[in-house]
Amino acid sequence: MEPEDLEAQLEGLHPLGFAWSLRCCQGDRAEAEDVLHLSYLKVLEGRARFDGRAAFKTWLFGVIRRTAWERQRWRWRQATRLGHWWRERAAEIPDPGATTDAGAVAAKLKTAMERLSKRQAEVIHLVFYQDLTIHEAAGVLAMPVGTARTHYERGKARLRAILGSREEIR
Amino acid sequence: MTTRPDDQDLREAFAAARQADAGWTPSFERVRLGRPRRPGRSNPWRWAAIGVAAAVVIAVVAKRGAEEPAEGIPSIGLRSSTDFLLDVSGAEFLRTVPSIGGTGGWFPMSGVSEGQRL
Repeated sequence: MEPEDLEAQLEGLHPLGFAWSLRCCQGDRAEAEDVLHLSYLKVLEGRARFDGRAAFKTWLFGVIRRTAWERQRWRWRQATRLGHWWRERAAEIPDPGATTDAGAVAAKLKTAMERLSKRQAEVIHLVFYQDLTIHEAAGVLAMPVGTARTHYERGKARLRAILGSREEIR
Repeated sequence: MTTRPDDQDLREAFAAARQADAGWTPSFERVRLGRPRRPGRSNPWRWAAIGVAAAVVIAVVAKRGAEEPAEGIPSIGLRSSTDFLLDVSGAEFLRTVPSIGGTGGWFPMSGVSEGQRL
């Protein structure tokens, strides 16, 4: 794939890529931006190569997830060595507020998603937010399809239990 | 397999979340170039902690350098958990090498002056 094509693909997937990066960074927007930036660099500089075995979106999400994991490991090491109390804190940027109907639903959903396990939240996000199939989500998360399906079913049931009746979601 | 039709409620909720997030996504160009760093964000405590850590390291290294190993015995710098068993009275004689033909400061028995026959 030519660099211009790669960049166009990245730009087209940018909003979804940022949402996935945000999920991988547990809602830390500044960290999500850094992770996405590093992922783009990996792709554009050829350090991560798309081999065409999966859809570009699935592959890119895998790169973002791996980059987020590498960053988390690096931050953990930094915190362990020097103490996290003086570590640089993420910028305080307000989340999307509940000023619109969509914002209110998003806020409610976000609160509910925080109560799922990490794996459940990741699978649910990939399937419902990113419109991936369970098979594709399993590819992004590097887990067997059966495991992803289990996380999906349990996550969905838990999400519904947290949100209450269907009418409460809307 | 994707999702069942009865997941429509969740689909709609997540679509609303996507819509709400759209206005908060940083531009592609900004992310591609890297997040601008705010000036003055570096924490002064960071430099203080690094300074203290450096001072401690220098002090430890200097102290180790000042400790000379026992004469004639190479210092290997290791200490076993059972080494305390060797800390017996008179152990200092085990770490010295007597010279032939004289006591030369190596005379273990108290009450007997140097040069006196036993």
